[in-house]
Amino acid sequence: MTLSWRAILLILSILLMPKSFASSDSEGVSSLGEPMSPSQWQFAVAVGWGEKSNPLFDYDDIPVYVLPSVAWYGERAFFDNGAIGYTLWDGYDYSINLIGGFGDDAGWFNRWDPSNLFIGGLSGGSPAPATDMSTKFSRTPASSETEPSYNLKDRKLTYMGGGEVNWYTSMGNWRALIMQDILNVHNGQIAMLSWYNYWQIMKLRVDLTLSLNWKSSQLVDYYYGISADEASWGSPTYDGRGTFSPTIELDFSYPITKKLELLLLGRYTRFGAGIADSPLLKEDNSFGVFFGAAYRF
Amino acid sequence: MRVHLALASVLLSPMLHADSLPADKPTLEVWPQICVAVPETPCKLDLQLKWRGTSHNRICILSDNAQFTRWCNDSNAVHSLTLNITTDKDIQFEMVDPETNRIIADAKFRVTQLSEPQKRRRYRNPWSLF
Repeated sequence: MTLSWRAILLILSILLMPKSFASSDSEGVSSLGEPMSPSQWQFAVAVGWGEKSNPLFDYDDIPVYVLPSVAWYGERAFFDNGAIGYTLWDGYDYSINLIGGFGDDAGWFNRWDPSNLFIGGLSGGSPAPATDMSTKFSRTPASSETEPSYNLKDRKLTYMGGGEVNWYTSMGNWRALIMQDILNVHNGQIAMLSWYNYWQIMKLRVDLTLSLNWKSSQLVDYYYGISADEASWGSPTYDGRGTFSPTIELDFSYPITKKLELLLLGRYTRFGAGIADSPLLKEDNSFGVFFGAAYRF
Repeated sequence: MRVHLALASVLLSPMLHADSLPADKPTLEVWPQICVAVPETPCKLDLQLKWRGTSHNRICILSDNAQFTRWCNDSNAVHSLTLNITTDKDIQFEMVDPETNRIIADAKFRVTQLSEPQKRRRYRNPWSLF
């Protein structure tokens, strides 16, 4: 028992270790929080093997063979892997950005959604949905049940816009973000609170992100709800509810040369009850893993 | 070559004309006087030192640069010296009387670092999955 408490204290002390220990001399792709030269595009690509599990019934897991990384930071505006932002304030301790980006929920329903862009596409891999868009959808029944079936309408992609505050401390960076659907697709909102830190252990860099994501009832209902006209007779309908989903992401990178590094990425999300209770879901979680080599151009 | 960038930006100020200075005051001049160095690239150039107005038969020139610590003339007919220098720091030259070590005149070569372009903090993880 004493040993386990010591282990917990050791882990906590590492997690909360001051940034001075964690300073990076990596010369590869600029990582989160690291300097970007203004008005210069930064292109990088990672090639390897990975998979993103799809929590939906009848939708395949999403292969990950190629991960692009594209970023540009101007004096105030920036583009970073799909996120478009404008910095209102960038100080030593905190920054405030207007931010926009595609929602990620449509990606479960459409293999070629921007959130899945480039993932597995160049090297083949099976498309995620067994059938696309207006989908005949059936879930595995319990032995005593009649198999429910659904004729799902299109779950459209949308664009979210809002703001974020980043707070930089010696024991990690915090981010609070809130966004609203700005294309009138579902009129829902998302909010996120995350903590991020990294550690440099010799040449190995370890990045850890813990986040809590909230999605509003409108958003959850649009993607994970089942309306009466989507459910065949006898199949249950579902009204989505606003819910919190925690996520942990742990990334390892090891530079081989100035431009080449090895990557091992892992991510796990546990869906909140408002999503997980949907009959569309076979799992209440999703995990992703990727291992490969990244090259910076 | 990046060194040439530094060299190209060297010639910022003209050499002072010794004729315009009082004849009785010993002077030491360095040319060029300033080099603008690009980041992480030192200035590499030929520095010319000239002196006038000294009645000393022998003079020595000292500097605080390790590549050139001391030089003394062989005769009073020599009034200039050219040094091949690589540096990212200012260099202070002093002309001294070798018999008394008294400073007769001095001159300074300045290195100005071209400031780094301002960088921004990245807000997103480049390899975040999904």
